[in-house]
Amino acid sequence: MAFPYLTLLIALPLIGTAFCLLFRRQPDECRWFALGSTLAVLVISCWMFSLDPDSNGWLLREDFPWIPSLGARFTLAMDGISLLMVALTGFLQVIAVAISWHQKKHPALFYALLLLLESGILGVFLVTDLLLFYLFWEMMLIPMLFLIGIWGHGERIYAAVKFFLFTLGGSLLMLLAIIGLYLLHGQQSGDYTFALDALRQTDCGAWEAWLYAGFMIGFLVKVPVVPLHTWLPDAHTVAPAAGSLDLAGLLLKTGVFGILRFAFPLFPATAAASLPLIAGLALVGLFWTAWCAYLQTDIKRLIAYSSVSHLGVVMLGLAANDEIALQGAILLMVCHGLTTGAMFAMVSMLRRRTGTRNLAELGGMWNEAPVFSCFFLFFAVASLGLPGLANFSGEILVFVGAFRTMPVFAALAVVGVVFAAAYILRLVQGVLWGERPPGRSWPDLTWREGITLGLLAIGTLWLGLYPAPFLEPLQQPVRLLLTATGGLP
Amino acid sequence: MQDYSLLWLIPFFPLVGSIINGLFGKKIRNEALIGTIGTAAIGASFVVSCTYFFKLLGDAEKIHETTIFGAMGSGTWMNVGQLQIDWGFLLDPLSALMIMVVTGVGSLIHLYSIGYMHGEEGFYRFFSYLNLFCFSMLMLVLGNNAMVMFIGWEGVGLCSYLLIGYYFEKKSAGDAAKKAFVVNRVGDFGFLIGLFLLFWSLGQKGVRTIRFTEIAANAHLLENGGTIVTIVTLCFFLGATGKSAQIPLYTWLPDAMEGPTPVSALIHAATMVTAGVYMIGRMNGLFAMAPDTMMVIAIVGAATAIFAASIGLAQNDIKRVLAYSTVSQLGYMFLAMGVGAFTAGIFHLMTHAFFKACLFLGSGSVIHGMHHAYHHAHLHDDPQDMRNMGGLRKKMPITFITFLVSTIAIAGIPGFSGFFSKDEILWWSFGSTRGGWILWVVGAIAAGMTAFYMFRLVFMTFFGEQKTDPRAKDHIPESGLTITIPLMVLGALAVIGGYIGVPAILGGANHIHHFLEPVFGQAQKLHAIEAHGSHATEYGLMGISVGIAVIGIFGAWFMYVKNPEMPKQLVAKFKWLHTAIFNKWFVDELYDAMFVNATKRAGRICWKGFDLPIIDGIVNGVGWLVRGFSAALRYTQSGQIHSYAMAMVIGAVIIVAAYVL
Repeated sequence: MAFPYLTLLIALPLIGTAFCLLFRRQPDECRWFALGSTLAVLVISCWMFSLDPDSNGWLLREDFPWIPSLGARFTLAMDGISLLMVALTGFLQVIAVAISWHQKKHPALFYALLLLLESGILGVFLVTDLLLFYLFWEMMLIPMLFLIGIWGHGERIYAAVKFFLFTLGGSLLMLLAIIGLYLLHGQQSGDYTFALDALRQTDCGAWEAWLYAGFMIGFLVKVPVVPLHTWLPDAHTVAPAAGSLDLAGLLLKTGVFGILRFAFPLFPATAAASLPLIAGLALVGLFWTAWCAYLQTDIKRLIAYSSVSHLGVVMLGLAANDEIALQGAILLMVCHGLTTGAMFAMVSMLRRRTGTRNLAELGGMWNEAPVFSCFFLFFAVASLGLPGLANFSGEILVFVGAFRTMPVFAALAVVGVVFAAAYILRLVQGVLWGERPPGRSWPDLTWREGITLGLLAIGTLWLGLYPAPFLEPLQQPVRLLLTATGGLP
Repeated sequence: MQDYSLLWLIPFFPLVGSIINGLFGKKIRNEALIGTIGTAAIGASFVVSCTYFFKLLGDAEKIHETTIFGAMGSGTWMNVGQLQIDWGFLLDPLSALMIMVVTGVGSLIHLYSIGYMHGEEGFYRFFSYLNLFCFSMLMLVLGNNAMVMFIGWEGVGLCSYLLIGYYFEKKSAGDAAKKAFVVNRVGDFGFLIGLFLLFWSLGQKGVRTIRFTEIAANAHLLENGGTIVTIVTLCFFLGATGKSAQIPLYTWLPDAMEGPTPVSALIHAATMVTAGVYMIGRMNGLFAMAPDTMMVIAIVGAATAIFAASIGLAQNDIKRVLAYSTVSQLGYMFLAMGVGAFTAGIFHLMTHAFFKACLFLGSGSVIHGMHHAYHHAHLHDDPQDMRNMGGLRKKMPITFITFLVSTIAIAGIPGFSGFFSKDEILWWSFGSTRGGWILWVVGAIAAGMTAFYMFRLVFMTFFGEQKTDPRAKDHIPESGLTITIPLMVLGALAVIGGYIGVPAILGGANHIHHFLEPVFGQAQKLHAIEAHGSHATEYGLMGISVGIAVIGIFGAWFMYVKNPEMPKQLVAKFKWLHTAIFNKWFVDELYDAMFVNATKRAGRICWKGFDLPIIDGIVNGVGWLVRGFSAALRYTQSGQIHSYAMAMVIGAVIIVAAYVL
């Protein structure tokens, strides 16, 4: 039996968590445990790019018995899509640890929760057993809840509870759907199992639409899709920097990933029928949140809304049912993770210096902190989709692909890009340009901050200039998925 | 077969220059060194461009494609589902001519900026942006596929944004920059939709490509004059109206004058704004297939030419006059493209780059001098207002001579460069198979207006008595050598630049026509696009247009030199007309009301009208209920959130199990 690399991936952050809790009186050591375990995940996931997939698209598979009485197994599997997501998780968690290096309040517990969260996210990206999936899905929720509730700013309890209610409401519906599917399949075949491959064979009959809806609502809350999105601006705004980074960079992606891994393959026919609806919701959300973003005065909230708007493009790529668009959507998730993550990181650096996130009280950074300003501008124009930088690669593929299957929707989505320019440039003008508020002076980036942002910038450039190595592993899984939903011509 | 594999060097040099100055400029601090790095970077590109240009002149094969790694087939950018995008370059006579203009004029303007930007706090930043702009523009010009072109297309937009906002502490500069970018984005929408539609329409015929040469070779697969070709080209044209400031997307360009004057010369006159014209030239095969689109282009071009010229008649800011003049001259180029006079359009692009760059740099020299004088006298008058000028010809002789020469060129006086290119456009708009006499009439009237407002500018600035504040008037110096050398070179080009395109009727060989033949000849032949008419007609039209120009000049002289009181009387008499023209026909106000305010209103409805009261209201209600219950159940629960979660999970399992079983 081969070495269980996937289990190791999930276990590494857990080991880090355990160490952090054990050595909670030595915060300096905890920091290095956190960095060490996140780096280990990143290195292993980078090595995984060298693996070759089998005929079903799996790069690695691991299977252990778990709860035999229920037929639940500890099954992990990785294809090209999960590979990208895992690598993104590894990368962003390193950044998350780096930007919270000087965590003052309960540092050990903070890092422990951050690592627990990583373990949960990695689990979601790797499991193919539905019960186990649900376990990991909920496992992400708890650390995030505490990260917001304990380390947040402002109205953190309200935001934490709101986040919790939305996502729990969604995931309960999903749990109902999982159990329903489990029982249906058991009755039909006599084999009570939570294995994804087996459940795909289930004939759900009249239940199919309901089960599909249960899954989808759970996922769409997470993405989030309008009108299930209002938890996000609040949660992002109050969350600590690492929390916002993880929320935007990773947690939102678990929703999209869930759709690709579970909702679409389990119910391909219903999924195909629902695509226009998804595209419509995606498009409404794209404009809706772009307009909201344009009005915000709190820059973190502005970026939070812009994040929902970008996810609208991703959802359009999913709904387009086209090879180019779907690859673009998955690539865009990675790009968005980097650029929006960087924006959130920069907002927290800005707040540490100025003590405010209010656009009206900011301005004139360009003279004060030129290095900071260059990075800020770089990530801002990346997130408005400047060609040659990350987001563009994903967006253009989504648009090209979507134009084949739903030209009107695609054209409208391109209009949305105009609004992206409007709110991003408003942000740039408000923060970097204009007069500096009198009597204030702010230091430029520290070395640690500069290196952190430099890494993100390199990633952004790489994805923009040469995304081919990241698109290549997607080819086979995307084709397999589209075969199921009838998206291949 | 010759080797063109080092084409990538041309955009590469300015990129390196930009990075060096951007990263280390603040540390270098030495203006001479920063300026030299920036100028040397674009100068190196100019040298490479010259090498390739002359190589191409002597080469029988006129169309060459390479990638950054040399041979075709390498240098992949993206490759998804038969959509292959390479980092590829294309050198043909059209792009060769363009790189000569961009690097040549670019080098001169870099040199000029060393003197003009002297003492600015952001000196290094300026040169970094300017180099980055040249890089983007060269990518736009050299790209062998629509995506590389789009990189340059957006890149020049970004640099334009940064340079308009160069004086970022001024709110007006920030607003103008944002406006330029967003309006351009509207145009980009057209570009992208056009590209997608083209890609999939050709894809249906079995050709999935975005390479220009392959598009041209397979264009015949689409229906000639059909709906698809018309929509595709109209979309691309929308993109062109954004970048090249045509109706309806021209409003950003006059505001863009907030940037430093060398920027106005390089980006907003000579190079970037001509990108739309270049793009149509690049896809001429496609446009030639869509006569309806061509007609739209010709009409929009002619309308823009006369509309912008009308606004130029009444402006008092020296740079604004030149800005509207640029919009108007770009209109001529589109008129040319629309009537199928592709060569004439590109020819005018080139001569316009010379004389308009010279005019802008000349105005910069004037502003520089005025600013110096006001600074010396501690005054805060507007150094760009022509009403404060007058009589400067004695103070700034070199600036005056070069400015006058360029003004004669733009007015279309025979012998100067502008005459040859403008006359060819007018001839084609009358005699082309895609033209019409009404286009000629509009073009000729606009030419008269051009002559009028340009000489009005010259008379107000350089002639008459000096109206500058007495405390400052004796302190206006001629500019230094880094400023006057580029002026003299460009002034010379504004005179002789036209001689590469002397028409046959005047005994010329029309070199440029033959040079560009490999690019435009095929489409023109295929769709029978040609200008025809007797020699007498051609001579006659030429005479009339020159006559109109002379009348314009004479009118300006009569109103601003002979009877200086007359403009005021006229303004008083036609108050409403002057108000309308002076306020740019109120188009900005109209757009604000229609688009900007509408966006804000939509945002308010979504956010304050729906998100907060309705969705959050429901959620808060649920939260309130939960809190109520939990207060009642407090004694049975630990009060910790994860135990709620566990309870809910277990409860859900039991409910479903009971229901289904």
